Formats: sequence, C-alpha cells, structure tokens
Amino acid sequence: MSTLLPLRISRKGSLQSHEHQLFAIYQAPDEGDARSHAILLCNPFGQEAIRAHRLYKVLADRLVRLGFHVMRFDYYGSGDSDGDDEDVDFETWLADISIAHSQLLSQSACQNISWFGLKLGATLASLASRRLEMPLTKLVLWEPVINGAQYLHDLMAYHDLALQQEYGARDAFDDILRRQFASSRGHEALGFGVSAAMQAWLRSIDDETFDTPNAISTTLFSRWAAPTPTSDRKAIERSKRDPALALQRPALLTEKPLPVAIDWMANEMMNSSVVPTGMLEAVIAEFEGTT
Amino acid sequence: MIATDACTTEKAIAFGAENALVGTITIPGLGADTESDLGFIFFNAGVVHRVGPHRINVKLARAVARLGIPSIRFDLAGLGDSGRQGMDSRLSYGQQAAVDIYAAIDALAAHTQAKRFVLCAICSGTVHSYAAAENDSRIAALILLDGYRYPSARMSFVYLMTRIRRRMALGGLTSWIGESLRARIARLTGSHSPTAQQDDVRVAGPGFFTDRPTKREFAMMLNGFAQRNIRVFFVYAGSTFQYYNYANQFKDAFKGYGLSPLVEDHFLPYADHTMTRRAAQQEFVALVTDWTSTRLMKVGAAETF
Repeated sequence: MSTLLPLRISRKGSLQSHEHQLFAIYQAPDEGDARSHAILLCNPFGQEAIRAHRLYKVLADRLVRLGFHVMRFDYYGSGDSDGDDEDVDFETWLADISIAHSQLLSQSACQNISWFGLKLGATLASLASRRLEMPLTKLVLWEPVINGAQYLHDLMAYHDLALQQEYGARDAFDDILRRQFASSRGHEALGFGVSAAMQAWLRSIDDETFDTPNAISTTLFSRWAAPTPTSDRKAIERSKRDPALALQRPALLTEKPLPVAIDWMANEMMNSSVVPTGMLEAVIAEFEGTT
Repeated sequence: MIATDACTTEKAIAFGAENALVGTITIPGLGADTESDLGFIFFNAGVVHRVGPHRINVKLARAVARLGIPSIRFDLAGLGDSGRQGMDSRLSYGQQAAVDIYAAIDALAAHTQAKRFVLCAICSGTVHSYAAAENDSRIAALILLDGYRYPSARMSFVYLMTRIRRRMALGGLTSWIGESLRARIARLTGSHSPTAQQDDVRVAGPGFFTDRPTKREFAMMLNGFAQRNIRVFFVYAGSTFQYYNYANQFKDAFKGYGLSPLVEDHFLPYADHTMTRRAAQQEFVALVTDWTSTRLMKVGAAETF
C-alpha cells in the first residue's frame, strides 16, 4: 500500500537546526511496485501555485501508482511553509529546491531522481539543476518563464484584471476603491507580495540566464515548439521567445508542443479543481518510460 | 519543531480515519501574548486547499498564535492533500465534512491545551461550520466570511443606485434605463418565477448558495447556538455588492427576529471575497484577532462575554 507523509524540512538540512522549515509531502509507492526513482515536483509562483495545487496532487498520486517516490513541497514564504510573502527571495527558492531534493533522496533511498516544474517552477528547476553534483535522470519543464520582465508585467496586469472582475461596477465611480486599487499596484500580484528584490530577480531572467540543465534528459513543453523553423527570419523570431533556444538546446533536450494551453493566472482558474487531462497524461508519459 | 518566527512552531500531521486527513498545526511559542484554552480550526474554502485563498488561513493561524491560540488548518476529505480512504460512504458530503472537522478538533486537542474551539471559515466552509456546531459542545464560536447573505429592502436600493452611478460615470444612463425597463417587463409577462423572498419559503439564494435556509430557520439556528453560548461573527466582503452592500444589512434583514447579542456582523466594503489585495488580507486578519481578543479571550479570571 502506498503511503503519504506530510513533513517539515529544515532549511538548514538538519533537524537540530533552529532555522525555518519547509512543508513537504512525501509519497512512497507500494513496495511491490516500487522503482528506484524519485520525482520532485517544483511549484510555480504565487496564485499559479494555488491554482495548480490540484494538478500536482493528482500528478503525484498517478506517479506513485506507477511506482515512483514523489515529493511536493512549498518554497519558503509560500504555501504551508514558514515565512511570509514579503520574505520571498528567489535565490532562496533555488536553495529550497536543493534542500527538497536532498530530503527526497534521503527519504526514498532511490538511485534515480527527476524533477518536474511548471511556469516559474520550471525556470527555477532548470537553474537549480546546475547546482547539483550529479545530473538528474529526467527534467520535465512545462512552459518555463524565460522572459522575466514579461512575466512580471503579466502578473501585474492579471492583478489589475482580477480586481476589476471582483469589484465589478464600483470602480467606475468609487474614488476610495480606485485609490485602494492603485495602492496595491506595483508590489503585489494576485494576492501575493512581489518585493523589489523579487522583481529585480525576475527582470534578470532572460535568454542569457540559462545554461544547459544538469539532466541526462530534458523535455520542454512549450507553446513555441515547432519541428524546424522554415526560414532564418522565423528562426530569429523563435529565438526571442523559444525556451528551448534559451536553454541552449542540449543534445538531449526534447521540445514538445503543449497538448493543452492553460492560463494559470486567469481568475477563471480560481475556484476550480482543474486537472487538465492532456497535460497530466503528457507529463506522466515523460516519466513512465524511465526505470 | 522549529520556530516559524519568534512565537510559533508548526507541525505537519496526518490524522483522522485511516490517517487520510492532512493538516498543519500552529502552536504559539513562549513569546506569545498569553496562554489560551481556545483553538482555531481552518479548512477549505471551496476547492482551494487548506492554506486558504491567497494563503489567508496561514496568515490567520500565525496571527492568532501571537494571541497565544493554537490552530489547525486542514483539508477536508477528498480536497487538497487529504485522501478519500477515510470517508464513510454512508454519509452525505456535508455530514462527512462535519466528521472531518470533529477529527481536526480531536487532533488539535491532542497536540495542545485547547478545549474550546473556533471554526473560522470562508464561503462554502461556512455551511460546514453550522453543521459541525450543531453537534459538538466543544465549539465556542464561528467566524464566517461570506456565508449566507440575506437581502433587505435597502440592499436592493443600494444595488440599484450603484448601477445608476456606474452608468452615470460611464455614460448611457438613458439607454440603460430603457433596457432595464424592457427586461423587467419581459420578466413580468414571461414565465420567470417570482423573485420575492418570503420568510417561510425556502428558495434558491443569490450568489454562491443554491439552497439557503429561510430567515426564520436561520434565526432559529443562530439563537439555538446563542443558548449554548456559541458566538457567531459574520463578516461580509464588499465585492459581491449585488448580494451584500452596506454595513447594517444583516441587522436590517433580521430585524424582528430577536437575534441574540452573541450574533454579530461586520462589513468590509473594500475587501473582495478572496481578499486579493494584501491590505484587505491585513484588514481581515486584524478584524478576526481583535474580535477574538475582545469576545473570546479571558481577561484575568473572567470571560469577556
């Protein structure tokens, strides 16, 4: 019978430390089905993580039934982990991935370990993989953020849109409401603080940021995926937007189109237990063929 | 357990039947303001997992911890990280939710000194709170954001004025009036069901709840809670202004129903249903902690009722 264990991981990596803690859920497969392969799921940012929570839960359950050990975790200052929004620092989140990775290896005693990341989680996973001594078996990246300035702009725009949708008609004439909307702009997005440090880090993310992920095999799901560009001009255009090119096309990078496009920032995702089947099956298929 | 800040520690647990429920217990540290026999219970709002919309349950848990109050935030069976293996197939969804809440109370009581419990719920969670409070004498209070909303005559007027003001601000008031009149005539002459709310008629409520108790039923339930010294604090956000749009709407709606003074309400006109703005989150957290301090916590040896 598979097991599910909620736990808290010390960010110093030692249970005796008095540092802050991360919330994690470790799921182990039925012993009879177990592979020596663990998978770490890396959350996206902020409200996207809230909205993707159900997907991650179902993905974890499915992978466990296939014999994988799986861990999901909340970065510092997010979810059920210690810290507040304002404490968020993406450099800390890169370290958090490494900490969760070590915990998963220790917990599972697996020989192989892979990661999955969605949106900013994919970006962070790609960057954090470079800090590993040993390569990952598999890295699956779903729509990584490669233009941090654009992502930040989108977060702020969706924040404005969400407020407009929540308050409906009143903003047209309610000066107090408009002032309160205005006061929330520029430093928060969809219910979560976005500090100056976070914004600076995001703006630093562009196609110059990425080195080849440290993984034996990487699959990138991207809306820009195409077999081959048909002309140099198209290639130049793609290079500005294509995460695969930003990731410098390692020999074992496989680029695949999105089977389904989900707008994780949209307010329509708020109160839905959305598990897009096409996405779920595509991700599972990436791991299913591994040992 | 390690400190999340100077005051609190948190523990992740699996509990309940088959250990299927997942939760986080927040325990005040030595630096908390005071010790309390209260414990807060947080759970899902809709399908959002136990951290709450925009992590509001986490913020509330840590804020009440600074008052010396422990809490548990957990996922109801089948939601969030909680599994279904502990569910009782004989129970309805609402009955199962109440059973899960009792399990959370048991878990918090086992880990802390809490003996009296406050259910702090949002939206659909408010319905589960009523059901749970009916049958557990350990529940001392309910703090409910955007639960059942009842109209008053003034509510309709305020809503109409809001729409008129918007049209005046945007232009097109005359044409809007014409469209609205034509729509109203169509409703009166067509096959639409009456929209008037009668006290003794159970009707589909507006907004988020399709089967709201009548005012009489609701008042009876609340007064029943009051007779058992269960306080109820209703908080309403201003974004759903077509259903709740001024500070005294609750009192006006229940005028003549003899509600106990243990039933209170508060309107947050500039907060939205899920507290999207951080200022709204802070306002709501402050409201909850202030109300808790003044209504539920012991001062010296006396209860501040």
